[in-house]
Amino acid sequence: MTLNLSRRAFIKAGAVASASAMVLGSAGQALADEAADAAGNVADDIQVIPSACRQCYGRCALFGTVEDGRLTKIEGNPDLFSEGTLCGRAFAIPQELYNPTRVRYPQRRVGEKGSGQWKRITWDEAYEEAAKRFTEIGEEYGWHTIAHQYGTGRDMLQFQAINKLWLELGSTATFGVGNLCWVGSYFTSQRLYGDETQYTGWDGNNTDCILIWCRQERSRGYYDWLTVKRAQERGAQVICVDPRFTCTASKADQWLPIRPGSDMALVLAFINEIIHSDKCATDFARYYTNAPFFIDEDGTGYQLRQSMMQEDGNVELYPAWDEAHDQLIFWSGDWQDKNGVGGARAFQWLDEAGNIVEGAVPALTTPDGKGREINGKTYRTSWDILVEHVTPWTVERAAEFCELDPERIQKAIDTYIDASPHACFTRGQKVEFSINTSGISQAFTIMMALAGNFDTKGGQNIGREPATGYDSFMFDVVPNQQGRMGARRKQTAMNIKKLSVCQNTGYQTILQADDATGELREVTQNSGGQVIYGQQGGFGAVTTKAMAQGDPFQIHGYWQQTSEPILSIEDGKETIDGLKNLDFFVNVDIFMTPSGELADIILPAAHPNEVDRVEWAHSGHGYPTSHTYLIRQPFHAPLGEAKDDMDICFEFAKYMDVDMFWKDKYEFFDYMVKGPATLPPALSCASFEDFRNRISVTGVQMTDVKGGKPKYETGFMRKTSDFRPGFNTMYRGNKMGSVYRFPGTTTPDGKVIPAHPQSDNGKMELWSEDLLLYGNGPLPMYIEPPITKRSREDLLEEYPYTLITGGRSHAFFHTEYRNSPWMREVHMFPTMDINPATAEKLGIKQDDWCWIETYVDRIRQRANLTEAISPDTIHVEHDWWFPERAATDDLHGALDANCNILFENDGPYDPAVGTDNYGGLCKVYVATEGAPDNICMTAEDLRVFLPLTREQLAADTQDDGVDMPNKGRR
Amino acid sequence: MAVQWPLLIFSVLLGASSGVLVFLGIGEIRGTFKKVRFPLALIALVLLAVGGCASALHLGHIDRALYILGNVGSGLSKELFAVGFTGLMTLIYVILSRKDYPTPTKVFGILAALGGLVLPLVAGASYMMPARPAWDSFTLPLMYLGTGLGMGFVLAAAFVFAKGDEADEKLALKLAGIGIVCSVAVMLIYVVWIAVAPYPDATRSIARLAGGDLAVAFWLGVVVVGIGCPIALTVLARQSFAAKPGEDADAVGGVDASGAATAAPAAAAKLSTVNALWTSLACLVVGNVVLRIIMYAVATSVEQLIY
Amino acid sequence: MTRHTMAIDLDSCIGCHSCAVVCKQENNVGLGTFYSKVLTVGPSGTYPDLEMYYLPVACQHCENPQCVSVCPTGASYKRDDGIVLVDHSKCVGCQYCVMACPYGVRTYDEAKDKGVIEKCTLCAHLVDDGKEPACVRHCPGQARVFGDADDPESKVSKLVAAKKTHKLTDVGNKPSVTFGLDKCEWKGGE
Repeated sequence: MTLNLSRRAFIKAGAVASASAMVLGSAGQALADEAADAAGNVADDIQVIPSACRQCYGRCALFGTVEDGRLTKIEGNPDLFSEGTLCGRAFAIPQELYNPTRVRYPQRRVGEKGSGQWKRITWDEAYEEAAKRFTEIGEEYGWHTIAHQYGTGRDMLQFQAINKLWLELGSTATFGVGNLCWVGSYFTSQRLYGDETQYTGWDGNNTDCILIWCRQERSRGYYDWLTVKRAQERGAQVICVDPRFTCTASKADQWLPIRPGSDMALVLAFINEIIHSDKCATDFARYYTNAPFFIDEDGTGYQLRQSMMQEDGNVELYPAWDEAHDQLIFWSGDWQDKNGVGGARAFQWLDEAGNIVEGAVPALTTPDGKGREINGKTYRTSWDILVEHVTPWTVERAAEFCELDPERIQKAIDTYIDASPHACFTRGQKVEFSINTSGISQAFTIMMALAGNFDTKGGQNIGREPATGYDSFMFDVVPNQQGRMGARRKQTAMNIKKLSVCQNTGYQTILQADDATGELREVTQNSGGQVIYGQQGGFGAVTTKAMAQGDPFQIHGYWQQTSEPILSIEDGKETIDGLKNLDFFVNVDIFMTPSGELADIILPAAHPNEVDRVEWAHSGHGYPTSHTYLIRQPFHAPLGEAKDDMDICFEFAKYMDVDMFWKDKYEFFDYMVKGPATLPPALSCASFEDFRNRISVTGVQMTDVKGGKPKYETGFMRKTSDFRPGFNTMYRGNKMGSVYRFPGTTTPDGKVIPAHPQSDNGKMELWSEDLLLYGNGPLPMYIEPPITKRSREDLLEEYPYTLITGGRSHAFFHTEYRNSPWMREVHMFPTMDINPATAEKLGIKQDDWCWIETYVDRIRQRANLTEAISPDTIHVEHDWWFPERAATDDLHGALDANCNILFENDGPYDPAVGTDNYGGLCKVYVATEGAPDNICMTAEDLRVFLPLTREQLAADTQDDGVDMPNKGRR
Repeated sequence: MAVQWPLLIFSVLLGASSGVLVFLGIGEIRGTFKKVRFPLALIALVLLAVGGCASALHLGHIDRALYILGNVGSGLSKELFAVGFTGLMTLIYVILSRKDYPTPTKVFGILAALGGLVLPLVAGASYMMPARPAWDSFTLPLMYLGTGLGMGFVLAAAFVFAKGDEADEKLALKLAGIGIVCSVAVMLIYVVWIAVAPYPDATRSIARLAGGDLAVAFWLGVVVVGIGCPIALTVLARQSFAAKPGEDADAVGGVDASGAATAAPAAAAKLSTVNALWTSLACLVVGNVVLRIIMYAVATSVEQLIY
Repeated sequence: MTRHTMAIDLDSCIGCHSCAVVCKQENNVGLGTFYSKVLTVGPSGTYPDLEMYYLPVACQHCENPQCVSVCPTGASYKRDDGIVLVDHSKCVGCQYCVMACPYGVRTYDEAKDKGVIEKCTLCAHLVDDGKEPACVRHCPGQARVFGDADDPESKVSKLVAAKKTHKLTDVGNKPSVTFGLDKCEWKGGE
């Protein structure tokens, strides 16, 4: 497949886009005009190619001008959701494409690990060696001793290919990235009601209030700010929760400068106030959630089933009390008709005789909330328990926990409640960087749901909708549905308890707040050896331990594709130890990176703008972004011998005899853009090539189609095609590939986990049986992060300042762009934010290089004195490295300013998704040594990263590796 | 603003050159300094030429130097005209001063002196920019002129003592004194301007000179070396001169040197006068360089936004 | 009369520096030189009672440009439509304009060994082509508008009419670029 969009083809593409204006719902004609204009003014060897940016999650629509096969200019495409706007990173794309640090040919390491000595090899040599070595490791030690790793989920299709390849090969361990980002919220809302809302689907276009929780305007998809700003101009209130006075905070109407890590207390106060307000969506709770269900508190701890009440009881019947008829009624979850109460009775309230009760009104509470006696036993509803849990979390208590002015909290909560059901919520990842990420995500979900904001105008669009084509996850779902899962993958999944790197985790002491008193107390979480969602197991810390220490088993092989765990995972130094321990390590990347220097073979990946993709909106955005497919097509063929990541997976699969199901990526793309038969023709593309011509397809919102009715009423939340009102709950329970604690397991404290019936009952869970099984407990609990002023008073004398990390920068995307002259030029140095008063006390002046030291390690960043941060808090930037430093110079400076080496990886972790803690306590002092050695100090120094010319690229065939700019300039 | 060394050197040399020309112009009017007018005029010409060359180093495109006449309204164009005029007059004066064409020599000497009076004013005025409050005042061209007179007069006087007619010495010394007075006055006036300039800001405040990062430069470089020393040395020169046997001490500024001049031989007295004047000149040059360094340092823009 | 200029809504600017970077692409600006840059003003006040805004600065295309009056060669000039430009073929690199500019938005470009003055051109080459400056077209906050200040229907005039407006310190040069700011207190001179 080659893209050669000639001038004529481009005009044609524009014309088609025009014809699809109906679908675009926007100015297709303008696009055509633009195309004609662009084409009319250019020479024949100049192409203007519509494509998408993949430099963050925003995937803005853009045009690339390609002259004689070289990208010379990036411009915004005004006719799609990004409205022609682009951030600086997009304009730096050519600097990435032609960067001197780019790997363009396969390389084999010829010196010691980290020596930076490489020799070019052929693809065949690389694949053959990798196949041979991985097979040897798999056969000698077991395939689970090969770890695999992917980068951010921006390119979900690339991720699918990597994932499928390695799951089929029996790999279980990954460092993961999702557990730092998005997976906690996705996992939780998926378990609670079958889809996601937390980042996505906020309806800023129609809202009266936007609650933005720790999210920067300038992190991803900057065009979201246009939505926020227009909402404000319409009179909507914007509330920002963030410890720092970020750009978002400066634009917001209200700012809650929350104490880092105390978010749960604030959300619980939100829920408490919502539950006790007349805006509380009690009907929603009553009819669409498990709120009326009784809980078997004294027995299994699970939701009560008829089978737990009586010997011949039905496991699919959930008892509740019918207020309308004063009788016991049962919810039938038997939609699969496996337990005799399915068919027409599924998802209905039944009486004891099994007949449908018309007009049943399931009671949310029991008398006085103390429980209702049934067959001699007293049961409370899950609502009773939830209300009891949140009621002590008053505004005053939240103020104490969050170190906030109670009036500010009350005002924010009132604003949110007043605006509901036209209030929406969106969040950033930082709340996710905690050992309570699934708990906080559960709390957010409860907050949105009970405020009545699910699927309302101006609220939350709560599900991905069948608006356009298929989602990327079908890449793996389709073959599995068709029984094409490989034998080794099946075997691995069935034996996951023994093969998972997480097998020894899940028993951990945490500091939890007692609901009644609000006091922190030590509690042991007993999740019974959990395995993380998505992958067959693995997260940063455990995979590091397995590599570095052989616990619970030694990892011998490793396939890493476009990721940098030394920077992104806590305790980067141990990650280095682990990577050095490996017998064989293949790295697939665009650039030479710190971890790449420890690999045995490096395979050159194509740049995102050198490949074909279907771009589906990810996290963060509302309509129409959330409903738009967009073409990402190459500006030119990959440089040198670089290849598309997906192609590399498909090719290597052949060497490893893996059945990828799809012939190649295009076969899946065709399937994806065509979509289900039910898709309106205007939204379905005949093929990927058809889609290429259309550039993009934007679907419709189901609430618009269904007269404003929420999807849970119209059956569109169900992914089972039964269109029953209710939610999609098929992800709950023990499922292949996403296994959690095992009923029957005895925890270290001697408790036997009772057998667990599945809970696929169409109800959203507020009190969550699924999260109980994962070890979090059924309710969102306040957990004090392990290293704060409140949890580690013993450290305060030595490390008096709260340390927070990872605020987003407009110049970079995680580890990316440190080799981009333009982006470095606008943000030259790793920057520590410190309050001027604190700085004065410590003798720190603006732009002083400072040591930031925790009890684990220390790093250097440059001081920025700003009132944006509280006097007792320090913020440092994440993912800094210095590609200008040599491989032998601390792996391209991966340890100088990398904030993740400041944290240990010994847990505790979030019991469900394994997220570690990334904040702590620190001291700060001036680094008399100044900046790290050999880094770029001036714009002039950045010349080493200027794009290579056509001639330079042609002349440098990288026979001895990549010519890295490793001569220092100090 | 960073010190623009080529411009700084130009302004110092231009000042000295102008001062010498004015000195000679006075001589032409008074009919004195005939013996030294050729070498001094030549020195003035060389100073101007060297300064001009130095200033050219400031340009990115010397090849386009003639374009500078493109906007006659601009300060720099006027400056170039003034340099051209003064240079030309001086050149003619130099040539004429070798011969004895009394009237033309006198005319061109006076014209050159006129150039010497105007050039520092024009050069200084080119820096008067509203964007830089510390420069945006007539005190700046005044400072260029006055300090130029100081340097030029002292230089010329020293030269008269070294190579000139003994008869001219008295006037030369008197002019040196006047030069010093001018120099001191304009320096102080300019410092006052810094203190009272509009759009006050810490970067261009008098506090920076009085007790800030420029204090050493100011107190030592300007006040002690640039003002105090030349005064003291000129006084010393006059005392030595007054002590010269056969001279009426009282005639020179009324300094009572009767005690000091007990038995000093004339030659020694003369030598000490010359030395005092040369040292005074050196101090003036240093003081002027330092004052201009300060002048650049306080020349911050009303809003320096990007760089 | 046409007076092409820009107005910037600071309430919309998110300080992302996109304008600084796209300008480099559009105008081939060398490393170390910026035609346009974004400053952070504040946060002012004391935590947690703060205000902050971002201030994108470039040539203000003054009505009475000091850079033009001091330029000895006429290389710096103001077009009839109000755009202030530098004719590189005439520039001698004397840098008097750099000194005369109140805003420090002109650069003597040594990096490219050109020895001439560089600054924002308001993308005159695009304007002459009927387009908007690159930074206006791509601004993620849509904070920048371009137009004719003398045309009451222009985007510039409308923004000026709709907001509290400010200009950079005027020392007689009459900057033409207007900044709109309603949400915070303006911290610059007037």
